[in-house]
Amino acid sequence: MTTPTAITAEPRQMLEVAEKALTAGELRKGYYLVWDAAMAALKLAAGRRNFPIETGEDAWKFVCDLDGIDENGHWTEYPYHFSGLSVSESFLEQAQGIFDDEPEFRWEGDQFAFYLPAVRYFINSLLDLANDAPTAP
Amino acid sequence: MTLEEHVAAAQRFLASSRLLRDAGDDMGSAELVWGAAMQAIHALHHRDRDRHPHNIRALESIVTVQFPASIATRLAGGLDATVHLHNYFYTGRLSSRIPQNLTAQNLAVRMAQGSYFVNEALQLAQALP
Repeated sequence: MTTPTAITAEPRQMLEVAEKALTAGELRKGYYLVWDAAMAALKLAAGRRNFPIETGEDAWKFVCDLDGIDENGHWTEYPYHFSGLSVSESFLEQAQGIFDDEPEFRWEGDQFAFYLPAVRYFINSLLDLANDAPTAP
Repeated sequence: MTLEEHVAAAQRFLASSRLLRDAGDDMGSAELVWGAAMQAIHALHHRDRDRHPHNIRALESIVTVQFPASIATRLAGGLDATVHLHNYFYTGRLSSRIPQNLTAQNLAVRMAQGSYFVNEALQLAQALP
């Protein structure tokens, strides 16, 4: 079994690098790194549960499963993992610049800061799962 | 508009959103959740008008200063959901990466998240001194 330290180090380090890039104003680089960190954590947690993540569909199924979201989209507890994947995906969309011509959807300045804690929460929760620790939320 | 008018408008939009959804108009229903979210944010501005400009950072500042991570995370996730719903109304795409067989499920979750966000933001606006 891999040690918790080995499991958790990489995504957290990636997120730290991402936050440094964002703070330095390297927004696109930072956005991509946030997404990469989230995906690294997601794959670790999914791997621990023998749930291979090969496609985006796999990732959504995994978070729906974690949050107890049924096929009609109903949930009882707040869907932190679904939300975390969604916000992480928003970082990817901002990195790809798909909203560059749509100011309503484009983040400006330090607007990323509002969403960053949600990704941090997501990653920490996934790493807890990867280590079989109680989940963060 | 007064705080009370923004709160009432947000609640009216949510109620209308439910009616549209029952009628099978997913896009219209999604857009009304976004409209309700904007009304809720305006309600928050009424409580913190002096410190913040009229943009989304007002919410960020209020939330991150006053609330623990789990609540801030819910609000960020809920607002993100409303942005996706707004985008869905304009482009017809919930997300380019969400597979078709999960789209209805994703839409339902985002609608619930967005409504949850509006209700939490309205409670927050009314509770702030």
